[in-house]
Amino acid sequence: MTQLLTTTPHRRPAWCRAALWLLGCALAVPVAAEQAPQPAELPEPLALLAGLTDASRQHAYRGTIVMVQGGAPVSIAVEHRLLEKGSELHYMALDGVPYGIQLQYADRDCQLFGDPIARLTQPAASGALAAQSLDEYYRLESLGLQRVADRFVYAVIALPEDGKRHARRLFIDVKTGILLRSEYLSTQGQLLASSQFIAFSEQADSGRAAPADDDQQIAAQPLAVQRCESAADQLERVAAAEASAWRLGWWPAGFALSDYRRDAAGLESFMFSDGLAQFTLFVDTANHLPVDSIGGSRGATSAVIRHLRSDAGAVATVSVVGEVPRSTAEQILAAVQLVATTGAAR
Amino acid sequence: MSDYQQRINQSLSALADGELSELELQRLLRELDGPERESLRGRWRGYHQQRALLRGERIEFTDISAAVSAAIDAEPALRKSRWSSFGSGLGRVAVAASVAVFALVGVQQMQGSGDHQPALEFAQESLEVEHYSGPALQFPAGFRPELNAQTVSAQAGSPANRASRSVAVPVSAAMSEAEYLHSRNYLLTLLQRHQLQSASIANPALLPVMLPATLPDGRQPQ
Repeated sequence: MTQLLTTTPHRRPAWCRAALWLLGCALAVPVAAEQAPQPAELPEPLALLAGLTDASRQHAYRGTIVMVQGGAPVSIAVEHRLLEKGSELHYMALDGVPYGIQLQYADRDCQLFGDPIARLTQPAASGALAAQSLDEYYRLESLGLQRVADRFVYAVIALPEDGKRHARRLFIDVKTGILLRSEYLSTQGQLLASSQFIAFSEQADSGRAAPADDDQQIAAQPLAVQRCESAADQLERVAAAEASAWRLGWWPAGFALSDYRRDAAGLESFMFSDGLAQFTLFVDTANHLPVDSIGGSRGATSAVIRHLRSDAGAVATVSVVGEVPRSTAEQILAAVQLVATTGAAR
Repeated sequence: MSDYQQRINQSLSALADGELSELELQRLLRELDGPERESLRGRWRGYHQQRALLRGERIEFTDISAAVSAAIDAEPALRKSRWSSFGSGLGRVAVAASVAVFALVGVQQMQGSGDHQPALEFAQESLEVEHYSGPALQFPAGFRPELNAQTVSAQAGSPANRASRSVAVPVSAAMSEAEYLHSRNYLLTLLQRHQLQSASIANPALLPVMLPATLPDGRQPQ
């Protein structure tokens, strides 16, 4: 190397090299300071998680997410538009079946109810629920500064304290506070599922009525609209679970009942969330499976379906589906209780 | 069924699925040498027989663990030198159980390679190979129906007088195509409902949101 340098025929003069070096330093220092925060500035992991909800509501953005859940990757186009009141979040699958979801947030209160992450920002808002703090059942650690989708992110790992749930690794955008990459890990550290932005941009022209040219394909696809109901509606639904004849005798600490629904066919669903994961308990007294049980897992999602026979002889199909280890799903399922024999076979 | 029995059954089921951790395996092996020894062994044999039934295999389970235990007992010097650090019973049962499993696997493989074709083969990721080629009948990867009679316990009445009990559901050894499709669609419906409900309730800041494309067969919600 020394020889190559000394024998270069068109070597610049010393003053020129010095000027270039000074110019490079002058340009590089501000850029580096802006793009890469110093380690001393790393925020607390819990504070980062607490800011996720607000960050995702306040910023207009668009991008492409790639999800891997125990199979081939799936690409999803994402766009979050700010409206006069609230916002809209669009997801559209770019592979496979052309289908999308539009989540409408009428105001900033919707969907905050019952979610431990959101509750970090308003701890006294939902007194009806067990308000266990997230860091009581996850050990949160900072993994420093990393880079996702060409942006600097704070990396945080949430390790379950009890082994009843998956570990999570979350990568949060330094500039906006939006989650750019999310991973489910097994207790052995194996990557089970992930979703991450491979392209992300902050949108300036939010609130527009007509989609841009590159939105035409997305707009042409069918969208399932999910409206975010108010916290009062969600409270009402959760309260309706009290009328159910079915109870869970046990579930992992930190999970709280976040939603309850009962459809016309009598299928009841109880959704629990611990802020980073969800599972749903289904009780179905109308549909009898020809097999005694179904079980398994794919990526981070486990499903266990069993028959249950009450004392009165009524048979129900009970199931636990969610982003928890299969062993946890089995434990939850084993704790299903029929608290009233009357009405069990409704 | 007591909590203890449920836990042991779950461990046995996990072991049969190859999902038991090293620590749990050690605990289970200790239980295998305890008072529940015979019933646990019976359950273990049952799990494997049911798995064989699922594959449409004929299987003649021969429990040679007793013979292996007897053979080990007949060699006291060897047993003391090799297994004394593990306790007298643990090592014996572990060896016997291992040999029994290997014998069972051997029989299954031999029968599978013969003329007998399995009626239905259910896929389980990274554990089993899918032999059934009909896409309409493929169960989603990672999930499978089970014909075992493991049930949850129904508890009725007030918490004070609830009595835990297990209820056996009759084992159906064969399934028609319609029954198979019914089971498969039921699973997909639950996965779909869970995903959509998660999307509408869970914090949207926490990806992944669930879409039909991420369902096992990419089907569109109805």
